[in-house]
Amino acid sequence: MHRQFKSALIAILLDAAATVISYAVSNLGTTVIVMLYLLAVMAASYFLGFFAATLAAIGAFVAINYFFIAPRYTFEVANSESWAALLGFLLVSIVVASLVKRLQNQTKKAQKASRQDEFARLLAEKVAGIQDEIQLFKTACQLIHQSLGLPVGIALPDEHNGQFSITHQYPDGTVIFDHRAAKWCSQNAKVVGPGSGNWPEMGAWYIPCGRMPGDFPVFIVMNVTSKIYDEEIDHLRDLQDQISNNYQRLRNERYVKNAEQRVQEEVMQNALLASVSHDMRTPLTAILGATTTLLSQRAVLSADAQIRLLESVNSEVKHLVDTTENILSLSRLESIMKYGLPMDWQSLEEIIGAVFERYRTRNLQHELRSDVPQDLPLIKADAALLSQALANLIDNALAVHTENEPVLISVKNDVETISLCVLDRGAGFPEGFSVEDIRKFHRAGAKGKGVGLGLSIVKVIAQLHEAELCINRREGGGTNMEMIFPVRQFGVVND
Amino acid sequence: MIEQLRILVVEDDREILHFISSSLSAAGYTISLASDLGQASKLFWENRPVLVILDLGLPDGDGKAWLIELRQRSDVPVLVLSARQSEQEKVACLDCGADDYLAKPFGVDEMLARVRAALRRTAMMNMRDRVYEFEGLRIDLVAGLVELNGKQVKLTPIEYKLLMLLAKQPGKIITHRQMLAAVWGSEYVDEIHYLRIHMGRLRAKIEAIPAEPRFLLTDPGIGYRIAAN
Repeated sequence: MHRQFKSALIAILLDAAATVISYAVSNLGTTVIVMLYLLAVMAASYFLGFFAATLAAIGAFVAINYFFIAPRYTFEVANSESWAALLGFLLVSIVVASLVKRLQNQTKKAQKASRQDEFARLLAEKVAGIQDEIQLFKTACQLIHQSLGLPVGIALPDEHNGQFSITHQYPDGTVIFDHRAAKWCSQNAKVVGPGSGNWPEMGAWYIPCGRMPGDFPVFIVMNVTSKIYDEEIDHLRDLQDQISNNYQRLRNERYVKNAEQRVQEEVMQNALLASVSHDMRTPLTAILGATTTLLSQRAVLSADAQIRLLESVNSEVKHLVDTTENILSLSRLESIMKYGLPMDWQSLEEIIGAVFERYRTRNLQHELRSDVPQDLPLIKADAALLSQALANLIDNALAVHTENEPVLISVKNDVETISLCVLDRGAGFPEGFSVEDIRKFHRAGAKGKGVGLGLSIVKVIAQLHEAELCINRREGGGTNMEMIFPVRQFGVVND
Repeated sequence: MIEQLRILVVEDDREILHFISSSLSAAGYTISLASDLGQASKLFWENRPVLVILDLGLPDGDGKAWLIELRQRSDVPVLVLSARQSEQEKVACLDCGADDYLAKPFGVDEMLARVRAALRRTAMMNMRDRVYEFEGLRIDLVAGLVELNGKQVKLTPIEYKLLMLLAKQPGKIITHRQMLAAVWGSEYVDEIHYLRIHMGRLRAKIEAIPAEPRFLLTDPGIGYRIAAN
């Protein structure tokens, strides 16, 4: 009301100004005077609205009559021509006022449409490169909030029970959420809230991220009224379509990735079973053979023969123990893949020392020797897994080593890397064999027992430590198996 | 006649119980056998064994809880048998007061060696002049002297504390947490890199080849021990 009163006052002032100027130039004739008043009406229409323009037109009509139509300074009109002119003026000024108003509305609409287009383009640009769903929704909430100036949130359905809950909002803590409304909105693919005809008593719009019914994310725009529904909703639904397309792209990518992973796990499981049953069955056959022989034919066997059978049982059992250890490592690796590897600062010198200690009591065919520089930096590692990897490499080396010289375990330290190497003089791997060829549980050409399982485990352990595994051929024959670890400094490491 | 040393074996698997008891008997020990924790408590207080061999997975409860209870009333050395792969489980047992652990599967030689080492530690704890001596390394725990091949070794205070801690109980694993708490204080139990760096320096002073240590042995992920003869 206050605003209307103010516009009326300004309209009268505009008329007053026109009167003053017309008075000063009244010698130029009535046409000029009429033009001046028309100008005042147009100004009122453009700046103050239709109501003020009408008031200005009536004011001008009265003022022209009073000040400029003979007899002047009376409200009387001398002749019918002047009446016609005056009424003509009133009509023209009202038509002009309404035209100006309409022009203004169209300009406003065009400007708004161009702003919305610009915003849609910006949104498309920003969300196209996003690679995960959470980031997509975060960015979308933020951008829509910037565009509308209203609190914006998004609710996602739970993948298992379909229950909606709010996952992002911008600004934080501003969105009031009703999960029933979100579910209805998503399952009917219809907008909910003031102006939509659905649940109009809600103070927010729930806009589905999909044009077909289903379990789609729902955008929530707070503090809206039915008045702005028509202007905003189409634009918002267009934006939702964009976001929804990107969301579905990302979700499909995730499904494909998960499916691939499951297939890979299954293949790995099958290969494991095949490899393990071979690695177990061979020694078990030998053990069963030896023990049944001892039990049934002890009377005819010489003491030496009995001892030999017992020794064979003993050695096969040791092999079974190693295989079991590797299988346990594998199950441990599986849980690590799921939950992450708890790593600590470890000393390679200590790990080598501990592994050497295990071999010291064994009756080895070949000697082991170490070449480890002093003052090595510590590395981030899991001690048990790294010991297992080193032991597997040493087992493989001992199985193929043929020369008199010792199997060498050496460490080289550069500025950015530490390498742990196990060097043998054996027949080694086939020409051109590389780390990529280490298939899960596939025997890598060497004749030794269980080489495939052991080497696969080494490969996975290296990956978990972000270490590079290299198979190098040695000059003069043999293999240098190398694990290259990145050196990290204290303080810059994310624990 | 000298009274034979009695060992309490708590194990519910009959085959394992059989080979443990027969080899311990053959080595000259007297055996008490318990197949659950209730029986173990009863036999322990009746027979007062010099050592307990305790399996962790027993039918009537958690061996670790039994161990914690036992530790409140007795210092008897306890050798834990653990089928579990997990280092955390081993560390937890040692932190609860186990003297040592044996991971299944194990050979008889290894078990007898651990039993002998544990009994020797008990005997040594009760002696007055305590000296650790092994292959040219001599540590006089009372005078605080360290000699390698007849020459005195100069150690920093931290290295000295670490070495004494290990040498007091030869062959016993001291966990990382126990070492950090004893040398640096209980607020440092997670600063494992302190330990690695100082143990590295200690090895450099005492070991001929630090990567192939004879004295200062590492149990990866668990702790350290000093070699026992």
